[in-house]
Amino acid sequence: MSISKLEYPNGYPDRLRANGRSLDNKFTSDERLFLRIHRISPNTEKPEFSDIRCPDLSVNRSKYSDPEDVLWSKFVYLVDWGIGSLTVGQATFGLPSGDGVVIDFKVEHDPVAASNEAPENFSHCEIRAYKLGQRRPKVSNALKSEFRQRIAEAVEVLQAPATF
Amino acid sequence: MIPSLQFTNDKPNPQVIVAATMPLAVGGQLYRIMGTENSGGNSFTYLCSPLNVERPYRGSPLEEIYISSSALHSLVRLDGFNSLPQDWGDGELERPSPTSIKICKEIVRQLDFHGLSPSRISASAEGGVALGFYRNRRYAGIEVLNDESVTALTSDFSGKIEAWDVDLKNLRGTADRIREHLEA
Repeated sequence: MSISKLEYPNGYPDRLRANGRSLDNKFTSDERLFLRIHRISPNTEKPEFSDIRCPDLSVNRSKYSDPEDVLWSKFVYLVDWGIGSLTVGQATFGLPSGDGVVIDFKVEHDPVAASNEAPENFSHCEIRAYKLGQRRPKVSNALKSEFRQRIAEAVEVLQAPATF
Repeated sequence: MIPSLQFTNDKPNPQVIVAATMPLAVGGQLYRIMGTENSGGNSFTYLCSPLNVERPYRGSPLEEIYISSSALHSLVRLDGFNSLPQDWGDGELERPSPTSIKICKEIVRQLDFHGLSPSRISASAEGGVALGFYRNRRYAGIEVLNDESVTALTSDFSGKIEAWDVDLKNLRGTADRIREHLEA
């Protein structure tokens, strides 16, 4: 179901609409990814693994968005959230699973079409897990924790959230 | 109405400032704080439970719990996650389940017994609750998810990260591993 323009809040950036553009899975390793962060640790002023989701971590890509665009959620602008950034290269790596097979994490362009659930977001990507070329919606808890901590440590906080 | 606790600085020597015999809710039960004591640089709070017994306190508590004030602080904070609104965060985050909070509180109690206190307590983005430990620029974390699985990890912030599933029947092993990492 498409959303009429009237249902978009004021200020929703036009750059996040597809406007006829096609899926683009060409990334350079230095392209930046933006994610919203709810909390950071007062010890490191960065998120911890428990502040990061896995797999299918949602990010916006810098090729098609500005950092603050990541604060748009379900037609609401999250003014008290923070903004983090990392590169495609930092989000692309493999981790050995319990059976020795490597789980590959990689960034994939995943534009969001307008719906009742979310506004259109052409810049949306997900960091997804693959095992032997097959996408894995779930990975083991230990591996998931390691992935999340790697991401947390890679994140550069561009804007701190209002609360720790 | 339960009076709120007032804490002074947590470091280096945490102190709980409460009037003796002030009732306190911990773990869904009312306790009465009997007093505080400083011992070896640690502050201990004495609790007896529960309050809702007909026999009032007469010297020996019915059940005495020894817990550091920083752990008590942690338990109160964990209890607070029970009242997170359903749409907390950006509305897409799962609220910590009462069971995950309960498990985490037990972990806090046991780690306290082994001399470990978390420096950060947070609701998890994956649904659940998490404890963070920092010392000497090293990190360790424990996360209890809503599916009741428990994972721990250590990191030295130089790329070496180790994560493992926690056996709740052998928390001592996890406590030793975390302490060894933090003190290395």
